[in-house]
Amino acid sequence: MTNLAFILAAYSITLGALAAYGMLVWSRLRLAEHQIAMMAPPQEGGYGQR
Amino acid sequence: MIGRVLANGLGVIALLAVLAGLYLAFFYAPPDALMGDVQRIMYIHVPTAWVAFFAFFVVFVASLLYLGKRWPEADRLASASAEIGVLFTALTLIAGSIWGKPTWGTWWTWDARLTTTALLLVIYVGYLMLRSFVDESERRARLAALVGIVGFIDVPLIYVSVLWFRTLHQPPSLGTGGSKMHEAMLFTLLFNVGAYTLVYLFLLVKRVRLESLRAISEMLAVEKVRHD
Amino acid sequence: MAGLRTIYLLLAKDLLTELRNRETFTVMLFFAVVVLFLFHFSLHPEGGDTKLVAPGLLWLAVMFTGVLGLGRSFQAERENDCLEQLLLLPGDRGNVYLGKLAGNTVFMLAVELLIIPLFGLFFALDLWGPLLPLLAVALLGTVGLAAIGTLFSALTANLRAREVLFPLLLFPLVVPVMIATVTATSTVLNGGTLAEAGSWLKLLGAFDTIFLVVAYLGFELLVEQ
Repeated sequence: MTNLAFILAAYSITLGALAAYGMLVWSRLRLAEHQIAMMAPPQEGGYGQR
Repeated sequence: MIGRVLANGLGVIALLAVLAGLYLAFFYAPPDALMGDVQRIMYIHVPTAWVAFFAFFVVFVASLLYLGKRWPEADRLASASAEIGVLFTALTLIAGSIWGKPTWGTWWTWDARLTTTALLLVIYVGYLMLRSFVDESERRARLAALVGIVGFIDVPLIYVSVLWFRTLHQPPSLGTGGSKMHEAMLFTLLFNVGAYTLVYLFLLVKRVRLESLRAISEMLAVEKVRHD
Repeated sequence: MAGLRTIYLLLAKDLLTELRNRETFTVMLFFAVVVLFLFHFSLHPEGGDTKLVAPGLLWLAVMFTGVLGLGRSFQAERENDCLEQLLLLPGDRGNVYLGKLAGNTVFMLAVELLIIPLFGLFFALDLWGPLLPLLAVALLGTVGLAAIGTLFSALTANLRAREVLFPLLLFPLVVPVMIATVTATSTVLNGGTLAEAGSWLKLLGAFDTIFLVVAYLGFELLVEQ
């Protein structure tokens, strides 16, 4: 049944793309959290010293 | 912290819903009398179409909110929803095309719904491109909000004009609606619409969080420069 | 009324500027001519098909030309840093929009009045018979194009890659106006009366109204600081 190929293609592309996007956002989220963690600590000592 | 737990919980529920939806689509719903099993593509194509339109509605509301209240959160919401909306729109067109080939013999047709969806994609890709060309956040938010509002209002106009145009040139023959749907099919369809809406909401929450973190990151970077 | 006066002044200023150096108008006109030539060469010259696609080609030419003219409508202000001064004029900011809209519409109509006869010539069409209906369609279509075009021209005025971004944003949004205008033109050129093209003209009128209202409000929101 060649129609199976169509069905599989439609589902796998859609689900695959959604999963890929989800992972992309997740990895960028981790990167951003890491960046903030790197930047935040030095500030804590800086407040109130002006 | 709680926010993150809730968001991840939403993700788990969304995943479970999608899996359940897949089961329903392949094992519960009966094959279509005319189109056979290929018709099952509908259970993922229609939900993504619905989500795409809903996503742009969210962009519309968020844009109005921004112009009214100037909340940066509204702008971030608009931006995130537009991005996810573009993804869902593209996927709708792809699955629709794949469905069209075995069903109607063609990869593409200019019927009102497909045409409007394609133009929707172009409009919101334009929205995202506009955003990428403006560096000042306030200005970017204001300009984008305008496009988000005008674009959304335009969509029904596009649909009506293409529909009229089509009835002129071709009698409507590509109806998927019209006939009553088998109960099991309707249930499967609605369930999957719900499942993919949950997926959208989960992605939206995470994407908005990413925007917020980036904004914080920027502010911290500015602070750092001032300190050093 | 201060509002009407603002609109009139703005229109007069743009028209006078254009009459003095005729920069934009000349470019638009020759661009439209070139586009029409290209269309002729890119299609098979014989074959009744040309008559079928002719209305579409005419309005495509107008669209491309319009994008050129509309895109430039705020450039003079931008180059001379006058936009802020413009916005300080008394009354509604919306009047600035209406003034610019009026100017853009006049320019486009002027180009169209010269292009349409040429178009009739190139595609061997009889335009005298349906002249009045044709002009009515042209007016409505142009207003629709200019309504959204003026707003987006202001929106993209100061952006990088404005020349590409402006058409990219504009084209999908004016599809309704394009469809209605081309279909109405087609009806009119095939012997239909204004009444027959009526439903399309009413649709076009509805589109124009919606576009005008949305663009007017949008402009005020755009220039709000």
